[in-house]
Amino acid sequence: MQATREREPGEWVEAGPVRFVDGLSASGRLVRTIAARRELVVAGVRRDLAARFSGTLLGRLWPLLTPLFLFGVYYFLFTRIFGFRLEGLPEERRAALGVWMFIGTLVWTGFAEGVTRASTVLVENGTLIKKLAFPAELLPLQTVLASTVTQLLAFGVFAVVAFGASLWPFAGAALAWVPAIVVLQVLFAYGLALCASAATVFLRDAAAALGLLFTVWMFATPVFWMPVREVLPTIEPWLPWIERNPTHSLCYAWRAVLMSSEPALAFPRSIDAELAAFAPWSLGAFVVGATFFACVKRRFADEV
Amino acid sequence: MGAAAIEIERLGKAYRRYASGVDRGLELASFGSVRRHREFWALRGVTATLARGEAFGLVGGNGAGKSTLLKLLAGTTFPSEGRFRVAGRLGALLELGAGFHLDLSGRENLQLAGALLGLSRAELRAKEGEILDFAEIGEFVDAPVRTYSTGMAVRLSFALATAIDPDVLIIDEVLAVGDLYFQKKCIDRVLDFKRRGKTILLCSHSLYDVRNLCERALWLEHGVVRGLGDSVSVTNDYATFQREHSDASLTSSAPSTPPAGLPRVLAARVVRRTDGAEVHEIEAGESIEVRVWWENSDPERHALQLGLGFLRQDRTLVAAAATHLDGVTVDARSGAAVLEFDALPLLAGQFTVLVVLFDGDGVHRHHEFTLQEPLTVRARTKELGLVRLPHRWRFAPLEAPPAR
Repeated sequence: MQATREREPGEWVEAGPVRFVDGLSASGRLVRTIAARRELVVAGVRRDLAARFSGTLLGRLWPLLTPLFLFGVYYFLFTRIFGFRLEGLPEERRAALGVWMFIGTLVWTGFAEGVTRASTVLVENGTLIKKLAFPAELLPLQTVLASTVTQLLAFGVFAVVAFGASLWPFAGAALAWVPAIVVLQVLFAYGLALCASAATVFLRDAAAALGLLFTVWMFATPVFWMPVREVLPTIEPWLPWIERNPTHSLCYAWRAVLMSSEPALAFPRSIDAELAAFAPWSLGAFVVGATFFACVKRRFADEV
Repeated sequence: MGAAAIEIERLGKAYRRYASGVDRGLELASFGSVRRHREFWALRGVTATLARGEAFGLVGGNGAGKSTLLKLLAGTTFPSEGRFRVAGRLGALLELGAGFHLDLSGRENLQLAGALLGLSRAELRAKEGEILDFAEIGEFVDAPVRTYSTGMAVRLSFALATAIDPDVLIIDEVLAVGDLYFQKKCIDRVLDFKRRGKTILLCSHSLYDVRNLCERALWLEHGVVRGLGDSVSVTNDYATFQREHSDASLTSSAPSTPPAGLPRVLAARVVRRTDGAEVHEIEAGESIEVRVWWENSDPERHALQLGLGFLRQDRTLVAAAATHLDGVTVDARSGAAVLEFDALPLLAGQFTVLVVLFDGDGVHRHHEFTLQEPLTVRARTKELGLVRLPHRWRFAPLEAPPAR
């Protein structure tokens, strides 16, 4: 059974590669394709999530259990066992470093896992593309969305536990930023995922190289450390560079929302400033990804 | 009506071949400015127009480019040259149900395919019953497609492709699979499509199906068009070509020459009676004669009978004539025998012409002589079988069932 790949009845299908100028209008077309095929996207995300825990006894509980456990570990490690304390932090903020790392880990995993898994998604679903004429651009989106959903579930667990048990002050009105952050994060990850998945079709080495790149990138991003002079005295000369990293802004935006920008010394910039820094990266990645993908996707069926 | 259902203009598809991964990497790294691939044209310069409501056949050998053409039209791969367009909704059945996602159940596959085709969930639910009825896969509907038999997968994909009621239906060799009961069901559905004015593109190795179902046909060979026209003449041409190429070794084998002194055939040829010209290809119903030159150095010792037969490819004797059966005696030392056929009733096909010299009882064979060139018979009609039997129809009112 075959479906025709996004073409209108009676429309000429021309030969030749897609020219770069045609590719530039790709972002708009991509948004329309996604809107038209949203049922397909939702079904794909659902299947992706279900597949991860299929065959397990606890099934759908795992996306909730994992962050719960992780949070417990970070909380106890950094408030009870490790002596790391930020100077002058009041007693009820002593979980700061644990919460900081917990959120950083979840944001990084949500972002990086989506992109790295997406890098092989076209190759793995070769039959879908070859035989079903499945709209290939939806596959990396499904992967990115699936890991974003996992991340949001984890944040939901965090909100219930941390705010509910008063381990951390309730975020309040700042939560209104969440939709904006989610949209920008998805656009950013999707743009990179489009590039990575398309590149892997032509050169399988791309996926392996991407794994390395992301490891380096993770350490360059303040996931497990705090880029603050008071905590890491040697960081000072690097700060201007570190702050230009888009994932730096992404992690900070999430933390600023969920941690209410406390402790103040760790949050030199406001949420809107972080998002203003991240938004151009996010839109840029999406446009570049959509353009690149549109330019090469006609060859997928011959290469996967 | 009037408008074309499928228009194809100078369509071509080249696949890239790289000698090694290094070549591929180099070409990618240079963004295509360094060319390190060889092109292989699976299809080139195909131009054709399918009218709305037409059934169109596609024939050709393996690797002729048929599947590439169908894949292009179905949108699973893109052209390297030329262009095409398809008017209306297209349903394609390629590669026998291989389009399913094997890990998903039949029902999930239906949903996926439905979503791909842009059917809403409500529309799909409305059609699901009909699809499952037609496919007859029973409780397997919730089992992964991996566990299906080939027949079940084909049935499901056929049911789905036709249930969406496409305006243009592309079928690649599916009619040949499945049991006879299901084949009939499929053909009935295809015929129903045809009746409702839908366009059908049928690719088949069965020239019978192509002749029978299609008005016109396209013959591809090595990616280029060898013939395009009414299905009877295109399949005739294709059949001729196929036989010439598949049988080259068989017909060129030299006739066994008997030892000196025994009766032998010197030569034989088929001649058209209207103009006396030697022919290798005739129209069904033409009058021909077969001329046989023979010698028998010692007629006293070796009595002789002369036989002639038309054989099919598989050596089945289709028709024959022999002197001892017809009560004719052959007693000269040498001569030319002429066997005349008025309105030869052989139908389309290729026939080996075999001349045999028997002994007097018509049992022992002195010499078997096969004509170098087989005789190709071309038919302008859709008559079936190997020979045309003289026949007529009569109709009478039904009175009583025949008594036992």
